[in-house]
Amino acid sequence: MSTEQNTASAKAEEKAGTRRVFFIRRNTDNALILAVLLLVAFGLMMVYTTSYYTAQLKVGDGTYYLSRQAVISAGGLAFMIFISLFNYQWICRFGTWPVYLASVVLMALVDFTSFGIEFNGRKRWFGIGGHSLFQPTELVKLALIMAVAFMLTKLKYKIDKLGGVTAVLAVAGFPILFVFLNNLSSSIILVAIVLIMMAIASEHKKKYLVILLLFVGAIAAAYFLGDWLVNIGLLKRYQLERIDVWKDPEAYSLEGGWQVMQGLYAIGSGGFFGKGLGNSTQKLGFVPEAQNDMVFSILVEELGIFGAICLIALFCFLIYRILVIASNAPDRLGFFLCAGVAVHISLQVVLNIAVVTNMIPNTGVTLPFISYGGSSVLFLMSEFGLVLSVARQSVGASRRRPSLARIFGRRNASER
Amino acid sequence: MKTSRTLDPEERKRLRIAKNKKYNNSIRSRLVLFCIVAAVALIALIVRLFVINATSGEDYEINILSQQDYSSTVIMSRRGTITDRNGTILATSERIYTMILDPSVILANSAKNETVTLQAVNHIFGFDIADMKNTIEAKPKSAYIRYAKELTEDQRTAFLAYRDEVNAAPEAKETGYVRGVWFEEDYKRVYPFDTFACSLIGFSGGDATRGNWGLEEYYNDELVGSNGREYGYMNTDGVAERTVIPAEDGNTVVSTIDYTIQAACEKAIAGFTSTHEVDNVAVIVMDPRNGEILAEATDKVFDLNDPSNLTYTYSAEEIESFDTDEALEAARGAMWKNYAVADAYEPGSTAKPFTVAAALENGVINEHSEFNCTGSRSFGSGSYLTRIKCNNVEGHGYLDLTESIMESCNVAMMDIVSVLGAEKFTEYQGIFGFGRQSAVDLPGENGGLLYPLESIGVVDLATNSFGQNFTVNMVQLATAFCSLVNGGKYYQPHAVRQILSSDGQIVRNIEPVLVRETVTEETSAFIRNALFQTVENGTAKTGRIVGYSVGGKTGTAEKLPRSDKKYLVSFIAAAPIDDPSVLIYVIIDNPTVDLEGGETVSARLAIAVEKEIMENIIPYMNLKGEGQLESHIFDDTGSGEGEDGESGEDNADDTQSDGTQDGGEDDVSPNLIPAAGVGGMDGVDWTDIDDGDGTGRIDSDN
Repeated sequence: MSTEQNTASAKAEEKAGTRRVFFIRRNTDNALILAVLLLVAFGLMMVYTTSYYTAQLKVGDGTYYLSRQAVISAGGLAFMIFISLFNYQWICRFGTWPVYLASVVLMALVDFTSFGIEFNGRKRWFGIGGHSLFQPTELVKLALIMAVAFMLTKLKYKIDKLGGVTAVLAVAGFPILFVFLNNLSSSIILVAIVLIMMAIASEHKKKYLVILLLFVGAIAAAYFLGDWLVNIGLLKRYQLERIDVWKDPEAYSLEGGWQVMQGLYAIGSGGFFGKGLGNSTQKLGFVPEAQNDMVFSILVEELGIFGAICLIALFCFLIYRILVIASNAPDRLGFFLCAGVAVHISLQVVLNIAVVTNMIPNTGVTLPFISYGGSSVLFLMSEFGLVLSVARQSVGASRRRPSLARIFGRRNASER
Repeated sequence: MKTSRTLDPEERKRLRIAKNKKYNNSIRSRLVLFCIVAAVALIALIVRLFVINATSGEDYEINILSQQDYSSTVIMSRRGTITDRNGTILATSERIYTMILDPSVILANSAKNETVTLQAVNHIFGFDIADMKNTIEAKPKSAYIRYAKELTEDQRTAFLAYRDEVNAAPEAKETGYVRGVWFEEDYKRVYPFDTFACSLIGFSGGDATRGNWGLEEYYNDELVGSNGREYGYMNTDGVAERTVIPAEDGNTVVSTIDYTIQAACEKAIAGFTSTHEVDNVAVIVMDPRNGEILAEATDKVFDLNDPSNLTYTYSAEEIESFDTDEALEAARGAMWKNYAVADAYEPGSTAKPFTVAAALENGVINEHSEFNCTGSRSFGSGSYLTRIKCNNVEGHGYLDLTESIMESCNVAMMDIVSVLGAEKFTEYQGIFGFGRQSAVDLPGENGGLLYPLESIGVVDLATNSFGQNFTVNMVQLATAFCSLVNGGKYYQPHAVRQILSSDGQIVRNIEPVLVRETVTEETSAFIRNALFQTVENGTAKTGRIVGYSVGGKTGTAEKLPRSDKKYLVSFIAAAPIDDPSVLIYVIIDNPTVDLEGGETVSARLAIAVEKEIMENIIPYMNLKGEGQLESHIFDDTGSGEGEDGESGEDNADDTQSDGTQDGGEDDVSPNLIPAAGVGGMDGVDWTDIDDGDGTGRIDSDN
């Protein structure tokens, strides 16, 4: 398979007339960069307004969370541009398995050794000497997107054969298992990312539809079989409580419905244009960890449904740009990378907002770019670095702008 | 790719490209499909937002508002203390408690709890059981009834101890528990000496973050602490946690006031007003060496613990006449206003030494200059002729410079100022600090009015020279006078010397600020001597204190309108005059005197008040001199100058129990008024002595 890919890229190089190992000469996707910048700015603003009160209380410095997030965001942006300067084919060929291996090792270290740091009762942070550094779960997301995209490209049609499916599941299953051990909701997201990427690659649409439905069904079943699952140790008590809370947050307001109810109060009190930036009352200690998972509820309270629509529109635009880049990708590796990132982003956005509006049980999924969290921002930026790299290599980039028409591949889709 | 084997390479390639193309298109369309699904989900979530807002937005808003109370509670800070220069507490804040009855808890379990609880409250506080029973049973569901206010810390402690004792007893299970009695903490402003130094201290009422008048107002920022806060917030597991930011108590303000001197001033004023009708009497005592205000009192007295009470200042008939709210408000305002700072008046002859000093500084006269007083001077001509009389209409005849001050000769002053000129005169008014605020640390200062150089006329200049036609406030004049007698150093007047933190650490010292040099030491020495001569042999002879060197200057200003023949008499004196360490300035505004009894309106009234104060201060401050004076202020207790707050408080108890300012033995106060004539006044013909300006001087044609 690698020979085929090599010939494909070689051909493309011939066409372009330049070598393409490191620097690419054209077509940075400025629209995507702009969208990312806007989201980062939006995120910093929300982190500041939501965390000021608690930061002032706990740390004595209102800008504590903001300044940390700002530094990491700036570093992340630089890293994104840096990665985009390299050819993603080169990065994936040499980088996929080291990144994958690193994610597995780090996850194992967090799960089983003292490198795992407990925070708020969850052992999810990797750290040395008690100083937490980052959450390897976020690295696993990047590693799996890279690994699955790489494998799907190599397997090509074999993905519809049992061997191919097994190989992908084996590779993906390993880190997901480690994630599952300490972070159920992240593992569900990872499973969903992998399954959807496979579904996109596979011609067996119906099978995957069934599998996805079964997956959703299994999660829904947990809703009914909760107690039994706890008894056999598959679910933890707090995880079950979240389901109970979801069913009736007001009744369970002491057990954890509090967070959900306070989030709903925030949303409900915002109105269409909100109370104005900085005017949330719910962030004053009522919505716990307002700058994390629940940031969207404060956003609605302060900026109203209007602000929420703006943010969602921004995410939609982001996904649309990834879609355009994917459709213009010079090879399937680029396509699958973009697809993985698009799936990752859209899943997290949809699930986070669904949690905040109490459509699904509380899963602890963060809102990309907006929630506070250094690891999340850093690895998201890496993903977008890869997407930008794909964009700079895109077919026809020099000839014309990638267009909506190319998404559907009706024209000029036979370069490979 | 089995099929490819049977085909030729061209065909195979064509097929492969077709298959690739088909596959590419299909994976693209599936990604697009996924994205469409995601977009639909997002739209559904937006709809969900609308639904939440439309269905329960208002309820949620109410929920939010109703839970705000739980989030944080204020921890009250304590307003700082004000002390005199020796630490005697003049104003402080005491912790008090409000008792809350909680019927929902008291009545919750059994009637036994109610009985036991009410009995316990009755046992400690003595409240009527039946009344409490009615109160709580009228609102059985309530959880908050403020039943009693201003309970002391001791009472609360006693109750809590008693409650625990009752509840811990083994038989409590049978007889019932003490339940549902809470206490809310607050502070109450307390002024241990009630009316003492009221115009200077000011008061702070229900709102402990505000001060009204005096030091309470000026130093409000130092006195108010910052309230603490107890915040509630939820951690990630939804468990309520609380963070406490403790309250920071306000700073202690150590004033420059000396309790003993202040008491002497207030007693002298009270003695004077008990025998005379008067518009205003005010006294200020300063230390010329550093600008500290040692005492400041007026006849407008009010109880700082009950500042709205008019009875200390107004008679029953007057209070009766304040029938509208506006009238009441105005009466209170007039009572609270600190005359010594907030009112400006024409100083009269006490301004003459400034005229002389300015002329000496400019060299237009010297110590040996002589003047010929013919009883008046005329300015202008024809119908604009203005004749300004001297106090002695017969004329003083030939006077030297010292005598012109001793005799308070207006003509001499007019002659001096005519050679000095308007420019230099107004410049020196500025140097002496007239016409602008002295920046004393008391609120509401009235800077007074001067003629600016551009518009000062000949007549204005002439009348200005002896203290008419421009206004000053007491602090301005006293401070400027300090600089005249201390060698020319104008220190910024101040009533506070130190700010301490609530635990007694020094936050900052307020050091004397030398604002400028007004006159030279030579001029100052000349003025000191002239003032001494004035008391020894001049218009202020009644102010002599045998054995001590006092120097001073009288003043009798004619008030506007001149035709009313109302006067403001004053006396300013410093001792010991060769190196003054105390300066007393007394003004008496429009006194009504017993004319039949031979009394006249003259500066002697002010001298008498000053003398009484000075005679008490001299032994207290241990001023040098050969006399054997003893202080009579604290014949009863003698503890007013206590070194610490505690003795001051003891003193407070004493004065409070008496209910009087004098604090006991009443033989002291009456003795001191006639004492004005005691100090060796041999050979002085009282009726001949008139300080100067009392007989009307300005006959103006326009």
